[in-house]
Amino acid sequence: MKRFRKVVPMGLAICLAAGMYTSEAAAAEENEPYEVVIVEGGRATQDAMDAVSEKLSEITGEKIGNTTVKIVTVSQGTYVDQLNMMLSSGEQVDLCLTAINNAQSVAFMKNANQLLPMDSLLKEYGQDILKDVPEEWLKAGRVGTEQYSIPGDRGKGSGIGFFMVKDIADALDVDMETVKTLDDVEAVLNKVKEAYPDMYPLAPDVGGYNPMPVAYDPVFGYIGCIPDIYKYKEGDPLVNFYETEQYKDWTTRMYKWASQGLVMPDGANSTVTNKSLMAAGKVACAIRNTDPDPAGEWSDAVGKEIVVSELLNPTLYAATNHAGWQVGIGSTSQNPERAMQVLNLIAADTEFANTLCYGVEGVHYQIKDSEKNTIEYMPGQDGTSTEYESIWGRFPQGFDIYVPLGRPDNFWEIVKDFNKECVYSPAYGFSYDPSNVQNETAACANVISKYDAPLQCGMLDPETELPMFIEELKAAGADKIIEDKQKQFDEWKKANSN
Amino acid sequence: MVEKGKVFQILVHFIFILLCLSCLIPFVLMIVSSFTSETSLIRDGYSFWPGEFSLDAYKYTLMDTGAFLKGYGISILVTTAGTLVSLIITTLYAYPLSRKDLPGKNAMSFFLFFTMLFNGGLIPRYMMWTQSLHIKNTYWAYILPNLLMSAFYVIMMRTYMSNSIPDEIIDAAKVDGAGEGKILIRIVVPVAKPILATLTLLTGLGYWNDWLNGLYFITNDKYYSIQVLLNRMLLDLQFLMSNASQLAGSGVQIGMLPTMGIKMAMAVLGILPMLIIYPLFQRYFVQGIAIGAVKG
Amino acid sequence: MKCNAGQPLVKKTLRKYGLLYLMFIPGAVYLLINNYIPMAGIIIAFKNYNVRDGIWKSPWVGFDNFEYLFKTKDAWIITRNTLGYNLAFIVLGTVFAVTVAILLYELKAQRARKAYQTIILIPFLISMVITSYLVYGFLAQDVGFVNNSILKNLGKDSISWYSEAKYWPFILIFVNLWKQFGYNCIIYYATLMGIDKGYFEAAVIDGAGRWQRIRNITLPHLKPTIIIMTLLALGKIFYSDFGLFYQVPMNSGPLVNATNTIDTYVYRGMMSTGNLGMSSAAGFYQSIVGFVLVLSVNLIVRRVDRENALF
Repeated sequence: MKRFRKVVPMGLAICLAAGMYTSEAAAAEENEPYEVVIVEGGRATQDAMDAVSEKLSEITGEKIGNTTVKIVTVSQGTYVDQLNMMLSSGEQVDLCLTAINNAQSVAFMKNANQLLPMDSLLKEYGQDILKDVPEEWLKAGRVGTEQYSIPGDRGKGSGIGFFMVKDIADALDVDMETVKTLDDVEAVLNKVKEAYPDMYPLAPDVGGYNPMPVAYDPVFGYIGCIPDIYKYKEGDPLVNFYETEQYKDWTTRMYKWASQGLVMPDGANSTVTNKSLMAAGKVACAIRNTDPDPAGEWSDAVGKEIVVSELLNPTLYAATNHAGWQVGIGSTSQNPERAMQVLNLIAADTEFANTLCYGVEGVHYQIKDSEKNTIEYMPGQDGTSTEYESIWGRFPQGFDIYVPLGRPDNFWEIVKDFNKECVYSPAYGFSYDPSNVQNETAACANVISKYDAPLQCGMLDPETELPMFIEELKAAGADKIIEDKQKQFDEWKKANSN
Repeated sequence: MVEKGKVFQILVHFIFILLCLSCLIPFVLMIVSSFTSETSLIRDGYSFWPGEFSLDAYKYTLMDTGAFLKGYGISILVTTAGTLVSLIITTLYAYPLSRKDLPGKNAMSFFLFFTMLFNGGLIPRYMMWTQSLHIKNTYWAYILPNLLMSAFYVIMMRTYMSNSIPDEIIDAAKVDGAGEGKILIRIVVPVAKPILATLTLLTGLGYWNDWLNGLYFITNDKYYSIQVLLNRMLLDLQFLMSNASQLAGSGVQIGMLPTMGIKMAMAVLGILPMLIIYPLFQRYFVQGIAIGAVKG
Repeated sequence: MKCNAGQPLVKKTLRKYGLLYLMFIPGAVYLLINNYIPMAGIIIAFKNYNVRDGIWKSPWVGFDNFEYLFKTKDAWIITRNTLGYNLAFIVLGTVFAVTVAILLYELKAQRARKAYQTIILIPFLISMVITSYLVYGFLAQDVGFVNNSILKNLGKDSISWYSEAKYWPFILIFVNLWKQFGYNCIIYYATLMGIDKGYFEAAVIDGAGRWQRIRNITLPHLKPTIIIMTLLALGKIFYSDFGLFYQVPMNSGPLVNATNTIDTYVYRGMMSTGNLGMSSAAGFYQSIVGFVLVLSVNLIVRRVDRENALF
């Protein structure tokens, strides 16, 4: 009977579940028993989730008292939908991952009331986070001036690199050190074409992703962006990415390359990653974003040695879309104080962070070298067969946890150096709320899907198509978006200047 | 006359052979691709003769044989149970609708039809099933949401019944003193065999192929049906490919994972059982149900 | 007087049909739980939905969520495409499936018939994603069969299929027919199975030829099913198969004008904003158009042929 009574006032459940957090005032001294539910994306069997939860609960029981942890790992491909559904239906979510640039962005989730504000919680329970996570990084988790999520500890920015199969580079006598501009790249591609007529010199990634080598910051959606961080001067307005000179040059060059046969045809529709294309020997080079240790990562994945040349100068920059995964407190948490305590424990307790990222020692991984802080998979396991997928960089786990499996021993040093080098975008930490211009955003998204990838892959002639593209964007209301974004950007700058 | 009939038969065979080719060629392409090495798929595209024969796709897919067999088991269980209950509910709803004399049947038709067009979206339905009826991570999650009764199939069955079962038979049975239950079981169901067989097939297909319910309502890998298992493997694979920098070094050559082949292999593994079972249904498609015999 | 007469009438009806009404109960309860109660979610279309306030307490915004579907230059294109393709699917799909079903029925060889029947269902079993790969296998610029094997051997230039919008109406209609005809065909075929053999025997005695039999017996028997199938398809006329229009053309930009439907427009638009109210609004709009259409056509059917109306 009780069950069926709940059927009718469905909406009520949400309100109740959500309303509870306020009444649950911190019951001071003796903690009431509470289970903190952490929802994250990845891959884990139920047994692995249970084992990791148990291990984590041991630690929280000791460090926080009367607190247990339950890990819910949702398949990454469905994470956004699943989390949205859990939060919308009032299921308990204490800590969850938030991203930066899609429907799971901090601003979006805050506007949908899916996240709780954490300023006061941080002050009271999050001292280790405030101590460990640099202010520059924390900014990316703010909406306005209030903190809504804590960015993960990872490589904070990106470079744009020219990747090439080493054997081919050697055979053609290419000195990667000297490949710095697009003209240099073009010369290399021409050489490849001549020497390897069966190969495509260059191919974009899945869906035609082919980043142009400029330090641009899309600032949430390209319409109203900073076209070049390095050239930005205080007071420069946000502009339409597709109207910039860089975009025109880039698409013109791509169209030229495509007509010379330097680029794989149908690139915008590609369903194969450029790593796979290189592995299959179909493509020799790629232009992609670079992470810490790019050559190592690519060589690992492709199974051939890959060499990289950074095309930007300065090499690394951090734009709004590079902030990466973050952790927030779900609005359906029934005890946000406890959620924050657990979040803080991730930053404070290495064992806790290690378990969260890599699983249980002796079950999901084993120590390789305790001196060097390195680990490896259990015998007979690898990344596809392990029961607990190891993901780092989504939590404020710090850089004193084990070195990720298969990475060089000095990996954390590489990451730290990488982060020191990054030039931050003037918009870093700004988050845009498009709710005033929803209609225009939807219309522009449709126009962009019509032109952008094909232009960037050399499938359309910018001479004729680019003016049409810009025209259609204007008709779809691009200027209104820019105006709205500029206004919010100015307000944000003012609020953060003092 | 005889000659003309023969020519017609040959012509029809010819048409069907063409149609079947159009259905089989892509299917063969799918099977061959699943046995082709990833390198040759990426380099040369799909072909009807494997450029480089390889079992990698199946090796990867069948890596965890236990989970795989269990997935098949769960799918068979869910499909059988779901289809059975679904057929009963559908028949029970369709039969009264087919009775021309029943007062209020239009209202019930409308009640049914309305659900075909309007729905409140995923979230309210998710709340209904998980919070009021608590089916998350149970086998019910595969059977109950959405699939148990299709308004479309009810309407199909009603249309069949009201057109293939003459009123006189039912009237005659009533005169003989048969109750509604008896009429349904003894007269209506036997005559409705072809549509029952068809709907069994289609409902069964619906259950067998469904992965959406599993996606939303199952997070525990112990309850993965075959389609959910395959779907998860694919999602995980895509994630592995696109997020390599955030994962710990996976210890596998991500670029060489047979993704394209795996998709094909998974499709083959999902479809084959259906193709084996389908012919078993066909004995119910016997031409010309002898309604005359029932009429007496 | 009327009241007095009414009471026994209800009683009498119940006594006569009671069991028939009981038969509705399991289905009706299911529809209530699975469909009707969750329909409360429709009001999200009229609200600025947020989680904390839930479905009921989120603020009303009137028809704001619907605006983006009409206030765009693309509104005409997506409506035209959705309607046009669906009409083509209904007309061609029905003609094709009915023809195949009749031919199958006319076939004398039992074994061949069973084999054909199984094989033509295969495309229905292949998911849209896989279909999109298979189509790509045929149409890819450099490694596709059409360019690589057929056009090359004919000495013609290769065509970049994924950049030329003009071919896609035909390709999409073809793929849809290919995927769906087996399914529709077995529904019609099941109806044919229900024809009393006696009719045909009588026709043969009367000396009727094949076409006469088909015209006078087979087609009239199929008519109710055709009417119902068409009516139900009309209800979905503003909907489109996302896989067919998004995945099969590989979301290729130059094809968008030929492949954009209401569903793909909403998907592309919502990817960046994820507004639940706006996507609900699209669904409601699609449903209400279908609903009105079905009600009107049903009314006409009732006038002409009461027996075969939906309700």
